[in-house]
Amino acid sequence: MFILKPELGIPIYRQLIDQVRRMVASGQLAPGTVLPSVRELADAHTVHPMTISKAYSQLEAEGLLERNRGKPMTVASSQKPQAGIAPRLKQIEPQVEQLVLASRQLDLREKDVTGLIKRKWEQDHE
Amino acid sequence: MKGALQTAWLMFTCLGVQRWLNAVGAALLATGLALGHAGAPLVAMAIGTACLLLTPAFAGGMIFRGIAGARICRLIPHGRLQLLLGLLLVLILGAALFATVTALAGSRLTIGFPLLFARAAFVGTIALLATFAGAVSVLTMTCVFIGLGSLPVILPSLSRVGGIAYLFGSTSALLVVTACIWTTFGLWFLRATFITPLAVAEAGMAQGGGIVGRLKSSRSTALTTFLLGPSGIAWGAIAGLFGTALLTLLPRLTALWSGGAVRPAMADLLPLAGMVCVFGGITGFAVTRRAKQLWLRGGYSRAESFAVCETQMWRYYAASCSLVPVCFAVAIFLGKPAMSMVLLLSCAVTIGACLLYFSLMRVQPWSVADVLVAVALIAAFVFLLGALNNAWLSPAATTALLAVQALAAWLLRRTAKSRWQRIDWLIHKPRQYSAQVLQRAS
Amino acid sequence: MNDSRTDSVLSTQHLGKTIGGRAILSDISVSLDRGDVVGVIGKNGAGKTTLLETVLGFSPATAGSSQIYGHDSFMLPAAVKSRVGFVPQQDDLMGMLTGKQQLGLVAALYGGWDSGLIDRLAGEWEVPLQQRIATLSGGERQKLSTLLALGHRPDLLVLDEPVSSLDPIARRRFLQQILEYTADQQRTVLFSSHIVSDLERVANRIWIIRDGQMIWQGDLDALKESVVRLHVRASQPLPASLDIPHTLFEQVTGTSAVVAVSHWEQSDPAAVSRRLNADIEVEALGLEDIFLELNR
Repeated sequence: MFILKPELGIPIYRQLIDQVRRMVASGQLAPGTVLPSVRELADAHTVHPMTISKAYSQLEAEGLLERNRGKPMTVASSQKPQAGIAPRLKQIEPQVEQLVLASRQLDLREKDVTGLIKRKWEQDHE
Repeated sequence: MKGALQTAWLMFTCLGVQRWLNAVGAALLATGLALGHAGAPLVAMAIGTACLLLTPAFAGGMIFRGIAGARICRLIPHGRLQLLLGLLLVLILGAALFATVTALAGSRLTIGFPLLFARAAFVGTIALLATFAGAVSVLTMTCVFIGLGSLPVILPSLSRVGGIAYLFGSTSALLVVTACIWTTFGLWFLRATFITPLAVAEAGMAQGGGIVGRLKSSRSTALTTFLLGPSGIAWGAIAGLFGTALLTLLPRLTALWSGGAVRPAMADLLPLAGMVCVFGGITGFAVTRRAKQLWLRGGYSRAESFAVCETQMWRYYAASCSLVPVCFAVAIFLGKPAMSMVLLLSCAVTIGACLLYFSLMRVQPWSVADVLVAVALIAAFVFLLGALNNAWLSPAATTALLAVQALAAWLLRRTAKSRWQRIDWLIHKPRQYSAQVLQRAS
Repeated sequence: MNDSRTDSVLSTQHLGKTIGGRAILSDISVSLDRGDVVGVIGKNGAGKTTLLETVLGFSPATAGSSQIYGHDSFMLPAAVKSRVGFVPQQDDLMGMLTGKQQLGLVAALYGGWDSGLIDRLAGEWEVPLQQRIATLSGGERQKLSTLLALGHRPDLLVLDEPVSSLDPIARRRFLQQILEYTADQQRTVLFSSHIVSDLERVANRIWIIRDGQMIWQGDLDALKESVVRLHVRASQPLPASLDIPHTLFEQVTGTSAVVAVSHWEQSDPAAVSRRLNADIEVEALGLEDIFLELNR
């Protein structure tokens, strides 16, 4: 379900948090979905369980996940997938920053870049 | 032929202790030479020579196997040949040194330099090649050491046998035989496809290797195995048996052969006593290093570890010398004075106990106190054998000596016990000689 | 029964160790809590083995003190020693015995021995127990060494380079076993390794030793957030030294620079960017890169 890479500079718990946030925001993880337990996830990826539970705790604190007594972690039912544009835009902001930086380095104009974006967008819709 | 010179140099300087021995030996030799060749300077020269030649004689074969067994040796052009030439060089130098010093002893000796050289070369060859051959397992190595150690004792008996007497009297015969031995060895050495590296044997030595059949998993077996090796006490018993047999039977057999007296003379029992002394210290050095495992896994405190090691060592000591009291009893039965026999044996045992506790003391780097004790022990050993041989001491004096030795053993035990309270197993772990040798060789 | 089950498994205070005049360790103050998996990294000769052997009590400390489960390391009582398992760097296996015999002997010394666990692991890890130890490969010896330390189910497991001879599959199995062993957070693991990727997976705390001193001890996550590499790009030539706090390494070439810093979480990126009048891209580093930067 998740892709965790220990060798990256981003701590594992952060990777998990980011992925859960994205998947909840996009609707891939519907409210009420049961997430794998800490042990299951730690075993599957051979990582320390504490890092998984750290991520889960933080997500619970943010309100994204909820823990019912006796039951494993589930996606909070109060989450609406279409929770406004701003948080979702924030999700892709890092990628846009990288795109802008790369384009500047290559000495491209804003017009060229947005044109490329438009073409890619239309391509995907077909 | 630089490799040959390097090999020879390595044989003289490889082990750490050799640096000290070489320095002391060279100093004594030089002093002796400078001060003339008679009396005390001669003794100094003799000791100096012993210092220089002792290690290559007893450990040379082991060191040589350490170098020769390294796989990298095969990649060096003419590697094996250079090693062989180096070894020969060591032999020639050693024999020459020995013969020169002995010849300088003056007109008291009737044998000239050539014969001395030939004899030294022959004995040296036996020593080097025997230790080389023996350095493949603990069993063979122990036997070789016992054999070499008892040479001074059995040679006189052996030399009464006709053929050997002739050999030792003729320079040309000795040189021819020596040359033949070297040629045979050389042919084998240069063509051998595989030479068992020292590390394999050393692993066995470091862990007290032996043949292992079924092993009972009990706490007592565990203790014995970890400290003394898988063969445990049996090892000591076998080595002791071998030594006792060598020192008692061989002179008897050669006497029979050459038609001499078969009754045990005092002089024949002294080597046995000497063996009893020496065996006291044999296991100690290895055992203390192996106690690390017991400390962690057995849950023993350092003081308890000391007690465990002490017990195991005494058991080992008793097992290895078990036959000697029997030999002494036989001697008494055959008419030797009982009192002197008992005193002799007791003195030997107390010196052995001192050596045992001295080896238990060796858990720290050498200090001045350690060196003094070592020297005192060697002196006591020599004195005991010499004195009793010449019957200088009366039973009363011998008893007094016995008391002094027992007191010394008790003091050494106390020192060992207090040193064990602060053992540092980070420094004090099983040595890896092969790694040391290879490191110096490269 | 056991009043020493405090959460502090191991702690040292200004631990120092000098051998032959050389200070191998100096002023090491660390602590280990129950449930931690701590990875120790450092260059060869930095003092990892000395540290592990000194805190376990094999070697007396020349300065400072250390305790395991509340007891002084040098004078550990037997009860505490039975809660500790140690896998040394140089194994102390006896070549003449078979694996089974060696296990049997160690089991006899400990008393409480989980042979079911050991048999299962020997099978999973493919350790031939019926063969003489002298004929085993380096990797098999290491695995056997580890088994020797696990059989009595210690609460504290200390391993000194336990996987240096293992292939990736064997290493993965080993890590899984370590995690399984500490799963209920009741057991603690302390291990030193060169294989940084393994530590990144399983460790939650990292100790970094350089020249006998502890230059980092803390959460792995915090470490990754602290040590980063900054890529600075300006439109005007940059000064020779950028004066960023806690700089580890700096390379300025004209209008761009690469700066490795620590304690980045304490800095204000916007402020730095404004001061230098440049764009700053933050590159998060993996543990190996962090180690390299801290050891320059």
